[in-house]
Amino acid sequence: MSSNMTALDTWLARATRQLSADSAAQVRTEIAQHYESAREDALATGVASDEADRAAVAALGDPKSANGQYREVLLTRSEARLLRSSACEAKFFSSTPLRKRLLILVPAAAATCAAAAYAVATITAPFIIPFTVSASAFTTASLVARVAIGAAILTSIVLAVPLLPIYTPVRARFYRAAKWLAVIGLSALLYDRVHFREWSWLMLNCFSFVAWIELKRMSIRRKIPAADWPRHLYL
Amino acid sequence: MHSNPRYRAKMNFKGTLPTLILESLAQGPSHGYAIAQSIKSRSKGILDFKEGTLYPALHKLETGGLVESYEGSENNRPRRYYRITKSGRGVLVKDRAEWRAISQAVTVILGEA
Repeated sequence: MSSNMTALDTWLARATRQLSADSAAQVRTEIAQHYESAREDALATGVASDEADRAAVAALGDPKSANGQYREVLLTRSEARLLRSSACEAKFFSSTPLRKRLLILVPAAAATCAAAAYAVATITAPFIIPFTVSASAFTTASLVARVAIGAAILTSIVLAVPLLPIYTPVRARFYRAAKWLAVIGLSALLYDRVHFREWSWLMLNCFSFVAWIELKRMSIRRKIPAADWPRHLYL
Repeated sequence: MHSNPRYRAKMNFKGTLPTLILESLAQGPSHGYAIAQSIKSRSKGILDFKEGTLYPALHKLETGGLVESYEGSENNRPRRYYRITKSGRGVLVKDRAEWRAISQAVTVILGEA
């Protein structure tokens, strides 16, 4: 019996590779139930116990192939880890109503800073430039305005989210589309062609990490019924 | 060409497994092993498949809201049962119609050969 159990255990170990603890437990339970039924049916036909065990494991097929299919529909270890860390972040941002409201101050402060810098760049600078040694004040104020408006958009997208009524898959899809459009627009705003070439390595590094997270989140969304999505998975 | 009908059935079987599961569950709630046996026996053994691949297909159907599962028991042993949902029945009706259309088209083409 122990060698037969080993055959099933080996099959399960291969089939549950890289799956999260909960997913692996689910697979073990359903396959163990299936195995028992297959074994009983085989024994009922009069075959020997060893042969029944062997046939029951063989009927399950290739564990590697099953593992690939399970990984397409059940959470993997890395996805479960991402889900846990996202839940912690969401909990921090929306733990109290006061903290939720305070978060709005960040984009508001950035927008105010942008407006101030824009005012300096467009109103004050033309008067100052003739009396200053260079146009660097104008250039700096313009850059600060662009960075600050970028920060305002980005922080409002991220931080104002707990206050938005996003709790259906359709609204979530709209929000995500708006978020990516804003990020792309922001990149275009902050970097002109020269700066883009100069800093493209940094942007690619940042975006590849963000894209990796987003792909993982897409995969998680496919694997969990929409009704069971935690709030942060909508975003 | 392979003369073994089982080989030919396996060639295009993967894509039809969810529909066959829905069809099996349309007869009544069932557990994984019984679903597998139902598909094999109703196809007279032609649609043979590795039973380890049945559960990923069931999970996918469940995530899509086409089937739902619940804990039951058989011979005093706990079993996870699956039943088809209303939207699952809708998809099954659509799949049946699509399959008939494809089947007729293929029959016409092969009949011409």
